[in-house]
Amino acid sequence: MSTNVNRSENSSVKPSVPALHSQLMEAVAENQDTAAFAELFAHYTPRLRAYLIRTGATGGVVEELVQEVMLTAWRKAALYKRAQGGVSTWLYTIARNAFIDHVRREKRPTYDSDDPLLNIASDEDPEHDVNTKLNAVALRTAIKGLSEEQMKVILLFYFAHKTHTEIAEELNLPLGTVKSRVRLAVEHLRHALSDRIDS
Amino acid sequence: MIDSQPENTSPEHPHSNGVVSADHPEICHHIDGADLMAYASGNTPELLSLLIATHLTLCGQCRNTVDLLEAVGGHLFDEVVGADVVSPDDATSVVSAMAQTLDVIATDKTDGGPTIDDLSSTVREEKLSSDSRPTHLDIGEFPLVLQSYIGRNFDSQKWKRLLAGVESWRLIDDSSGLQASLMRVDAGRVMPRHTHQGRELTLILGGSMLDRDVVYRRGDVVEADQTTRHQPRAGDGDDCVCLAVLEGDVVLTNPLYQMLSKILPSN
Repeated sequence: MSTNVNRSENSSVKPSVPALHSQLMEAVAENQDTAAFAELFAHYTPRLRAYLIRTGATGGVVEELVQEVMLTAWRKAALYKRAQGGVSTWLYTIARNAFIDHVRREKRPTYDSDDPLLNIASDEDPEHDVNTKLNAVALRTAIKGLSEEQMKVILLFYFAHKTHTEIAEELNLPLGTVKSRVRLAVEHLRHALSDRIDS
Repeated sequence: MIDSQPENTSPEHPHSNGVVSADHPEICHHIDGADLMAYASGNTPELLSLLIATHLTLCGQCRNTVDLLEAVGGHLFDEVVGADVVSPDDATSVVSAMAQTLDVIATDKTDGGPTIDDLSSTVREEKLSSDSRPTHLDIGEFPLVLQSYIGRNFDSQKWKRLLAGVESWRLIDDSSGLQASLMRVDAGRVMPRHTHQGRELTLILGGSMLDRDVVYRRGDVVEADQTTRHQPRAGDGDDCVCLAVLEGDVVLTNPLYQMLSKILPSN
């Protein structure tokens, strides 16, 4: 670690990387802070590139999409909400949508967050961060708790963008087995990460 | 052939008939966890995504699950193998890519320019105005994402009568071959016994449905497939309104209906 040249004497409280990134993104949103953006750019573009390469997108498209994702992040920074998960989740969803839109050429309808029908449970406070357990430590622990078979399937979803049927073919398993495996994995993740255990 | 998607709109509109569901009955029948994983990771065909998104509007539990599955995706993305190795060439290319991006930003006029329309949902068409709603069906009760698929063309004249007391309004098929229809079934009406060529997911939007000894209400999801033989019945009270997404056709199992289906024009 480089020499600690900081003004505050309380150097023991160092923000975690995710918290730091949230601060940076908020600085982009509030002040169009290009230095903050550059720091995020440096951290995330190699990850975006690696993710997109793993989806099977080819060279030129990868570079194009990496830039588009970061441009979207800059332009829509005001929509980033710390409470809904970290910057990595936010950028991942932007990248996922870019992949679906530009490479798959499909649409992925999603619910309208301003829909008056959005059914907020009477005991739920919309401002409160219900996903308090979605920090990096909890996520890492929850994911570690998955079996090797479950991880194999999950990686095929997130990175190779396969459907259940394609996964079944690739792993040479019955479709029903793949679906059960995924269901169990989702249940495990829900229990490990959900703030309130629903019925 | 994706047209550039329109800018996100945040429509401000008073909810027209004031029936916001603080006392919404519990949803008991959710989207299958396997489908939520597929949805969260971006691998569901469009019409299945539509049904899921419509359910999510009404179901906080499933929204919570999708949020955490997206966070799992974000975590795996952040720790993806291959991103940690940055050679000097890579560093140079990152810097030049950054410079290029900052150049684009510097020339941004408004927040214009095509961007990935990601962030909240895409409301592709305007919310239906109150004049375009047929009187027997209040589309204002539909989640906005579904309304955007119905669009301005919704017309009470265009319902197709499938059978006595059963009407359907078909949405455009998606590119994977799924088909989707709104269905309106008279209260108390029994459907003909049938099975399916593939999966059928039905999301109840109004009234209720009794199927295989289970009562399904607004927000609930009914699943059936080629192993199912069933005869759903619309509950008493309000007409049952639902969104059905199908893989393949419905197959009537009563020989009399099979004969009729050969005589009647197909939908």
